[in-house]
Amino acid sequence: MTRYIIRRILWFLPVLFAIVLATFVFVRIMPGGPFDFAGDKSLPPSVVANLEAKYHLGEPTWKQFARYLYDLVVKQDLGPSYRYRGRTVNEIISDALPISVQLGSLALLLGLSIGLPAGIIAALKQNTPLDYGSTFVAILGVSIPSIVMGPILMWIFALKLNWFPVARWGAQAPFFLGFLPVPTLTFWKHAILPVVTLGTGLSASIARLTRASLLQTIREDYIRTARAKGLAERVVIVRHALKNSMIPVVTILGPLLAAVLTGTFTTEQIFGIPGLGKHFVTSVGNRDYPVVVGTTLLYSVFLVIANLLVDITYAWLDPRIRYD
Amino acid sequence: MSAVEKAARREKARIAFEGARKERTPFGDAMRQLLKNRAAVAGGIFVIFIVLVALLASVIAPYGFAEVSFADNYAAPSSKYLAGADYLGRDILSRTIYGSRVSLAVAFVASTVSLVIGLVVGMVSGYAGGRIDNLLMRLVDFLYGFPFLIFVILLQVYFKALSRRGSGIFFVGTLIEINNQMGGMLFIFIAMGFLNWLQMARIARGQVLSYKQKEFVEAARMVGAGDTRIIFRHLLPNVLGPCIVSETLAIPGYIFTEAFLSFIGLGVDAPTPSWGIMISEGYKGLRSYPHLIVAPAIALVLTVLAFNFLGDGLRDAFDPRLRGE
Repeated sequence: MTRYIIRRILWFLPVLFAIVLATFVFVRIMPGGPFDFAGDKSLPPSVVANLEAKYHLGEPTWKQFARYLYDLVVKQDLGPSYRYRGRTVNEIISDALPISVQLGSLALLLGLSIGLPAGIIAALKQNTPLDYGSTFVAILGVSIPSIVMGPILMWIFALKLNWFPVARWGAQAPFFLGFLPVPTLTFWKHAILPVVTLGTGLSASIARLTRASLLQTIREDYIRTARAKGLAERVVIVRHALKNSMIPVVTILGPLLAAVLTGTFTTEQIFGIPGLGKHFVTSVGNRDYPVVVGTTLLYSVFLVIANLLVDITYAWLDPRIRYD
Repeated sequence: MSAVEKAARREKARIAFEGARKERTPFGDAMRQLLKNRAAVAGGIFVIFIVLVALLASVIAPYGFAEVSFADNYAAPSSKYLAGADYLGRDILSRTIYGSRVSLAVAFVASTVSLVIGLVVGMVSGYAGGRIDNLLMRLVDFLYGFPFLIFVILLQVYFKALSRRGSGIFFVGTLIEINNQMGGMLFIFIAMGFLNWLQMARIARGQVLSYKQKEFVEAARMVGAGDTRIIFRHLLPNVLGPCIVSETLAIPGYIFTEAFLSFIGLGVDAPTPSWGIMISEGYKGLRSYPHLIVAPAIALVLTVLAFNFLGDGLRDAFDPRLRGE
């Protein structure tokens, strides 16, 4: 197992290298540059030339890339932001990432705590009204995107009922351990609507997947064997069926984890949350090259690590899966 | 017994025989199963309905999608504007009707591209086996690490800049022209298919691997069928079913991605309407004009819901393991 993990981590390096290279080159061949401003804001050519010289943008791309890799590997430095003067990509990430992690992990917790039980109940009571009801709610849940869910919740609970604030996030740096917020009332009041917006879709897809997978597992021969040898129904379901049926659920949790932890643009945008999601989108439009590459690299690191965790979980869930 | 009588009796016997052995193909079984599933049938009917709406948009929409009337900006729903009017006084119902075109275009274009690429790669990989299989599957593993949404955003920004700048090369110029006709989304729809074939390739490969050892393939090879004939005549029909089902289930994702791109301002060019862009405009005016968002939001949710019901029904019908007793 240890050897497998080491081999996988070594495999990360070419993948991450390729992603950084592709993003690095791609943003640079895109038409337009980081200092093109239209109209009144446009900069004199001499200023642009100075800025480009400062950031070595006149050099050949391979040279820029070598410089970037050197800073990244040796100094863990993702470079300066071209748009937010005086701020580095490291600073932007360390400010915004904790907030996205808070939002994402709460939403994922909500998704699991509703989705798993709902999916299990639906599967165990297959073809009963309970099953039809929860399956219908789940399919409705996956059909409502956050760009619809967010405004609905905001309109009802923030604008009409005035229960929760309309926007912003209720916690600020410095965070405990770097990412844990102080759980004040203000924090929860701000958190509820975005967490529910993000969490409903997650819980619905988790519920659907759990139901489908558990239904398949329940028909396996070893479940019949477990029942035949007189195990309690609870033990059959929890120890034998549930554990084995979790493989497809864990499979989607990997990419989901990476996606929600590094920020979801729409939810953050709708509720005005200063998370990392915004930077993914705006940096591309701004041609803020280091922010584009830095955030993409960060997301990819989350993604490959999450997928590794998924594969390790497989071996625990199903001992027949071996990696030697 | 006359010869005519004999012929008639033989004919009757043949018909009875044919009737008795009326085939029950797996496909026929699946279709019967599908038609019993009321939610899936309703989903299918709604999908057909939306396709008709998109095709006949110019006939059924009460106004043009770009018809501006400044006197009516932010008009509330009334008999004149059934779903209200937006910030330029454009009829929201008409824009919602025209908006179905973009959502269906992405559903069709992205899924077709992804299906074709996935089928080709997966079938070649599974059929050839050995080194080619290994190489292609390593490529798939490698690409799995790539962040899909970020590359969609990067590509769309690139395409937008490209279409503004135009191109001297003849056929690229023509393509850009077609793209602009479609509200500037054609390239990104194709790109979404190009980025999303990995799952499809894995399914197609798995199917080919399980079928290529079957007797009917061996029999075909024995009577002298070449690789091309085996792939197209014998393997493709069997592989296609699960792939189409899986692609139907991917359609809501494509529709959401288009809505997301439009929402963040990287979608259709104004004044082409898309549900994502209308929701984006609507949520900004939520406090004062909540009606702006209603029609596009309902249209988006119902369409995705219909595709989900249809896809679920297809999957249940084609995968007997999920059927209840």
